[in-house]
Order: sequence, then structure tokens, then C-alpha cells
Amino acid sequence: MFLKQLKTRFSKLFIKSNRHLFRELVFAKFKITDHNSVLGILWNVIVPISMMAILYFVFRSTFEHQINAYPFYILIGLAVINFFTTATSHIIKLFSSNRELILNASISREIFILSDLTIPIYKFIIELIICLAFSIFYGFFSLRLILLIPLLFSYIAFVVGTGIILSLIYCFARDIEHIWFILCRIFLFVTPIFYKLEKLPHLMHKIIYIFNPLVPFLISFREIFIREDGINIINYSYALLFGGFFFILGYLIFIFLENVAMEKA
Amino acid sequence: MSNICIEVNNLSKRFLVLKGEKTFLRTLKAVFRRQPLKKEIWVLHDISFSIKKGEKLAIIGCNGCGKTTLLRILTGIYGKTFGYLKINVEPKALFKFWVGLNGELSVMDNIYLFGAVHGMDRHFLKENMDKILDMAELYELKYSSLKELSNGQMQRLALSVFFQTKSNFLIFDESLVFVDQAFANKCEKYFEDLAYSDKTVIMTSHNSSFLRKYCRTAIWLEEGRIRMSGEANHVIDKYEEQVKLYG
Repeated sequence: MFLKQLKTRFSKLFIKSNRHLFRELVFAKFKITDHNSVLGILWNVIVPISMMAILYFVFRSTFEHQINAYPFYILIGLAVINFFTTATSHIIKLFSSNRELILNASISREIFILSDLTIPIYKFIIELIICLAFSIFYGFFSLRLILLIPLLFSYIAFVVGTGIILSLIYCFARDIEHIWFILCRIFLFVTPIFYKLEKLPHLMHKIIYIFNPLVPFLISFREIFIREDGINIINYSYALLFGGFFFILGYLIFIFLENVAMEKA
Repeated sequence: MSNICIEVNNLSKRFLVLKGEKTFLRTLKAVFRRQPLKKEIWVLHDISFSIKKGEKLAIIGCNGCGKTTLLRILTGIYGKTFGYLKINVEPKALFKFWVGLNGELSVMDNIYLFGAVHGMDRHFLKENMDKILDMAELYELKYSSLKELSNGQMQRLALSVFFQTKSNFLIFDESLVFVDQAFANKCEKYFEDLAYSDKTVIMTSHNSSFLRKYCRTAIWLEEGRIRMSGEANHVIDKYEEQVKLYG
């Protein structure tokens, strides 16, 4: 019964009119994003590079001697955390910001999730392209970069799953927006963006690895981009599975709660 | 093949609404004493009817009687609480005209976006662009931002796009409210063609002469129940008698 419902849902999701609507929503979002901006697309390069420069100058005296290609190391960390915080902040208001459209047009609600994600994904991909340029500059560029593709999909899946769960909670208790804002600030410090996880005390290292879901992804991104040692296959596989698991979990909760959430939004 | 577009049997819809003002203290009390903060409101009770292909149906009733909720259930926006609902032909519905328009985009971009919301693709809309802009009388403003338009102009734009839809089942929920006389005359032609077409149409409006003109059958909703259904003129006469008597 549930599988049949899921099948109908998917077949409806990929119909031509939904594909057209998705395309138009994405066009609209891109047009509005750079509207009235003098530098436009360049901001997507300027922001991460300037953030990287600031962190580099603040922390280089403490960490540069411990970490190879330190500016690049920071940049990868920033790309991973920026995508997580911006994408989840976009999706958290999914139901309330699209309420009028959801209540007045029969559109698959997944279309809103996907279209809301396009700008953060686009920015993330630009940041990854900058990372690729850095990997060429530092001489790390190799075939192992192919491993980025499944990791990228898994990371996006993880972020979507998290975002969906947050958007549902937001319909019942808007406090989650403020709690999430605080948590995102905490993530900035408990994710090894500018420091090395191994340099922390053993217990702290374990706690951060277990309780911070971004860490396995960040470690894998770094191992792929910065060719120092081999890739930790267990960590890489864990990241892949974790992303898929979170996406399925978020989507199942979404299917069960979307109508109730819509009425509450 | 079935001649029925939509079949509804004993359909009911319930909403949960707050009993009183929601405060932090009341929420805490509700959690600890396990007393619900909300009460049930039944917006639709035991609604049963079917719509044949090609039928032109008017749904009438005072504000809050459940017309829009019923239409939202028929379009799949709301789920039903109880009852049987079978939709053989997916309808295209126009509820609030501004939904699907974006003030930051140009008139042309809004045609593509609003059209996509109502199931039309870019290629089709490109082919019909001149027709849409002519009907909406916005040809000169096609590159202007939508926020520079008046509400009336936006409504003309939305209706002009929606009128292009090729769907065989259309729903109009109070769509012509606020339309000026000049544009209403243009709409007449569209609704006349629609009335004699084989398309299935459901309309709600407080303009009874409009409904008499274009609908053959009607359902009168009162407090979420069907008070009367049948031939449009007869049902609308009875409804108007009731309104005159009791206000």
C-alpha cells in the first residue's frame, strides 16, 4: 500500500508540467538572486575567498605549521559548512514561504524543496570549482577527484534530509529557527574548519566525530582534495550511507507529516 | 470509459483550530495536563455529488460555507478527513490570481512562471505571448517589473495567462472579483466559448447572473452541507430567496 503510494507520488513528481514548473522556479530564483547587483556572480567567488583569507590571517600562526596547504584546508571546510548552513536556512521556511502557492495550486511539494535548494547548490558547486583550482595550484589534482561525485550527492542528500526535518518542525514550533541559528554558530567551532581534529584531546576528538554529522563528510572532502595520505574508506563509506539514510528518513517524515504541517504553517 | 470526472461520496473535512489565544503558559498546561489546545471544526459534512464530463457546475453559498475548501480537496491541495473521492480528470484551478506571480520579475517572466504553475510550458507560452499581452493590455509593459503594475493589471495578466490553459477540467474560485468592466467584457467571450465547449467547469462566485449565464447545474452549500443541488437557475433562485429573507 505504502509502496504503491510512493510509486504514484514519484510518477506524479516527474511529469512534464512539474519539470517545467521546476525550471521556471529556478529561472526566477536565479534572476532575483543577482537582481540589481553590480558584481553579480562574482560575489560567489569573493565571499568564500575573503572568508578564507580572514581565517587564514587569524589562525595561521597557531595552525599553519601543523597543516599542509592551510589556506586550501580552510577553504574546503568553509565550503562544506557554508552549504550546510545556507541550504538548511533556505529550506527551514519551506512551508511558510511557499504557503500561498501550496494552498492555491496543485503542485507536488517536492518541487519547492528542489527549487529552494538550487541557489545553495549552485553556490556550493562554485566553491568546489574554486577548490579544484586550488588543488591544481597545490599539485594535488588527481584521478581520486572522481570520488567527489558520490560524496557530493550524499552530502546534498544529507543536507536535504536535515532541511526537510527542520522545515516540518518549523511548522509546529517556530522556535526551531532561533535554535538552528545558534546551532549553526556552534557548528562553526565544533567542525574542524581551521584546526585539525587529530590535534584535539582524544575524548573531544571522539565526541566531535560521533555527534557532529558534518565531520565524516568534511574529512572525506579533504582527503579527496588534499592528496596527503590514502582515503579512509570506512569514513568515506560511512559518509555515503549516512547521507542516504538521512535523506530517506527526512523524506519519509515529510510524506507522513506534510498535510498536517501545511495546515499548521 | 467513465463519463464521470469527479465522484464524491460522504466527504467530510475537519480542521483543528485553537480554543483560545495561544500563550506559552497554556501550551505548557496543555502538554502537562494532556488537554488539547485545539478543537475540531467540521468544514464539510457528508458531501456527495458527481460531475459529468462537460458539465458546468456552480457552487454557491455564503462566505465560510466551505466552497473553497471543497475545491481545494477536488484539486488535491487538501486531503479529505473522511469519505470517498475519485478524481478521473485532474482539474486546473485558479484560486487567488496573485499566487504564482513574482513582483521582482518582469511581466514576460511572470507569464512563464504563472503559466508553469498552471501546467503550461515555456514553448507554448512563447507562441501565445502576443495573445496574452494583447488580452491583458500590457504589451507596452512587457519588460517592466510586475511590482510597477496595479492590482487590476496583475489580475488581467493572471487571467489572460490562465485562459490559455488547454485543460479539459477548469475550476474558477471567485476569479472575476475586482475585474473592471472593459476586461469583464473580454472575459465574457472566453466564458461563452467555455460554456458551449465540452470542457468541465466548476465556478464559484457571488455574482449570480454570471453563474446563471454560464452554468447549467448548481450546488448550494450551507455550513458545510449540501442544502440543495440541481438545475442552476432553480438552485440560485432558492438561494437568493433565502438571502433576501434572512440576509
